[in-house]
Amino acid sequence: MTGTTRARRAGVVRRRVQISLAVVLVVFLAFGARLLQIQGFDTSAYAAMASDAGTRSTVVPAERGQILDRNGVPLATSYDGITLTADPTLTAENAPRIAGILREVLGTEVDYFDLIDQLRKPDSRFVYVVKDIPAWQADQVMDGLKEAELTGVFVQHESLRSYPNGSVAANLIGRLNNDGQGVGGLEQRYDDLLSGTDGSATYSVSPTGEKIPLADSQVTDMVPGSDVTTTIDSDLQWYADDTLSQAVQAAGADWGLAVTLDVQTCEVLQMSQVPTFDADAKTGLTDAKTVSRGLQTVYEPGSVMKAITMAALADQGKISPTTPISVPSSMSIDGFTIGDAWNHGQLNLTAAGVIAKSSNLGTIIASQQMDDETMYEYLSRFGFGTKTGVGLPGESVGILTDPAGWSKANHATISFGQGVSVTAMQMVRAVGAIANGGQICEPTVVSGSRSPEGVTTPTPHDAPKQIISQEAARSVTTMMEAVTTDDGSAPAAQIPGYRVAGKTGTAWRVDPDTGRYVSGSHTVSFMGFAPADAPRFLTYVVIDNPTAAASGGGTAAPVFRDIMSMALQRFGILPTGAPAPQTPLSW
Amino acid sequence: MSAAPARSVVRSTARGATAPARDLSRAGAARERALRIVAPARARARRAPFVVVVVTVLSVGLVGLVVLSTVLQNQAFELARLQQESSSLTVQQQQLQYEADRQASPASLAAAASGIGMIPNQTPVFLKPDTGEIIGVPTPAGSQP
Repeated sequence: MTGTTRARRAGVVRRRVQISLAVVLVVFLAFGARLLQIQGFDTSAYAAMASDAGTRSTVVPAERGQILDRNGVPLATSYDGITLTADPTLTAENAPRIAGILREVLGTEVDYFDLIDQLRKPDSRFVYVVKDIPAWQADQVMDGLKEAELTGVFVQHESLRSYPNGSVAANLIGRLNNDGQGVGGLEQRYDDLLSGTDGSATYSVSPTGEKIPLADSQVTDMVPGSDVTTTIDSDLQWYADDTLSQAVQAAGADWGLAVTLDVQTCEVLQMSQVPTFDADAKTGLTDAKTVSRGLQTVYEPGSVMKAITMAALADQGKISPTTPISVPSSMSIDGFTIGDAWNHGQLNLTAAGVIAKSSNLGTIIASQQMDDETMYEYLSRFGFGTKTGVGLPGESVGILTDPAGWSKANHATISFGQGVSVTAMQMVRAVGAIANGGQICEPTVVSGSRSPEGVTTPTPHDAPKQIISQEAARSVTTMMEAVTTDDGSAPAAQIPGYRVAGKTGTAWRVDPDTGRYVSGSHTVSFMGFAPADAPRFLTYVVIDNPTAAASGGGTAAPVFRDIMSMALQRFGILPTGAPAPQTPLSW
Repeated sequence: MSAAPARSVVRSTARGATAPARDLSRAGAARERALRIVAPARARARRAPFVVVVVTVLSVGLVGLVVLSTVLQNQAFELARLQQESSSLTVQQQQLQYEADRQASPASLAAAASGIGMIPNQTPVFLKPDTGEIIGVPTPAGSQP
């Protein structure tokens, strides 16, 4: 009996021991399997998770280079910006308080109720709260939130663009799109140079977010972009913008432009257009305002072209300021009747008189001394039909048709600037050659760039090319000086103390949709340079489709005078004191 | 270890004690003179100083490590604080530059100049410093339109 009981007990104990062993074995097997999984199979995944938990990675945005004017005044500059994001699961509860702080700092830039909607967005852990605000405003917001112990709002660093002068030279400078890429103007042309390379920083952090000393960290420094120095004088540019704007408004015109060139260096000092946009305030971003009028808009120049026709003839020795020309009251060519802008009978004008009075008929008669090919060849020499080399995006080449297809009427109208389409920059380059003693050069708007290391690279220039003789250029200058005399078509262009050469233009406008001239619709312009006896600056003013009774001499010439006076003053150009030539206008 | 030489001395003494039977003649006296009692070697080097040295080295090392670590930590916090301050000052500088650029823009300057009654003079006069010659006729700027 006792023996049986003991044997049974021993059996129970043994079974218990076996069961315990089995349990322990199973537990150990489970641990072993898990260990094998962690250490053997999922090693890299767990290592990455561990590493992620302890590291922080940030993008260090590259500082975009500045665009400077000729005196180093910033036209476009960059500053630290922030985009605020939020995790709605953390912000939903306190959305009104957070929105209140944002509204207090950012004012009307943000909408209180939109903010609350964003901060309470359901089923989301990431929303943009407000984009592209200056870092100092973001700091105020974050300080406010920290003080109120509100969490869930985060910052993303970025670089923002600022245009301190607003709309001044906006079309020349261009702007950035939402992705930070340059659109239009210098921002687009020099995007690679300006943008630099973003950097990054990855470092180990403690659970509280402090950087761990001596722990692994990887820092790739950002490379800032280079600065681009333009040839623009920001004060002159602003003054021209302002003057042109008033004139365009007064004339009720569609648009206007004004360009000033230093004829000795071929540097563009100002390039204004109205209407324009404001890249800083991000207003006026429509095609009509962001287009670069001076380079992209093609129009018929009208009578300013007469100066080029006379230059071609003078270079061939076929005309001088006193060459007598019999001007009829009208002419019929290929069935078209062509007249002058004013009614007259037979006139005996000199070549200077033809230019001074802006006679179409006198110009036609003079131009008949050269054939189509010669005229085309000279127009090509003056750069019509080719880009100016200013190197800005979207430049047009204008329309200069092959002379093989010219009729007599074409030859006649092209001589006074109808039937040929140009850009303002082409006109500036062409007349610039007359001002510069017959040497044509490529206008430039950028003098050079400066790398972050301080290395300056000047913009390469092609050497000026002599396209007409110096005598021819001087001869045409004399004719153009007659324009600004009291008997000429633009006495309003006179600048006291200085000799001024110029040419007015009043062209029929072509409707771009129909390709036909629009009756009563004009493009008025004035091209001039001063001092005429030692040319330094050339200014071209174009005002398109003025509603009022406008003319080159009456509407554009006063704008020219104001801009040119300011340019002469700012650059300290002394009047030469030489008397203006008394060229006879008739014979 | 220290016991061994003592034993050998005893042994040689014992050997010496049995020797007179053979070496009583000449060498006996000299040999007897050479034998002497060697002072027993010290029992065991004391352990206490060694332990003290080790403990001291370890303690100094540990304290040094703690101090170094603390200093580094403090420097990390200081670095973080200074970086924060630097970035805050950079932002402040940018804000001031941003405002200054705007106030220095030609439009702002022109408005400010008009505001204090200044008007542009369209007929400037030039003075040649070398000859003292005045070019142009000095005329007061016209009244504002």
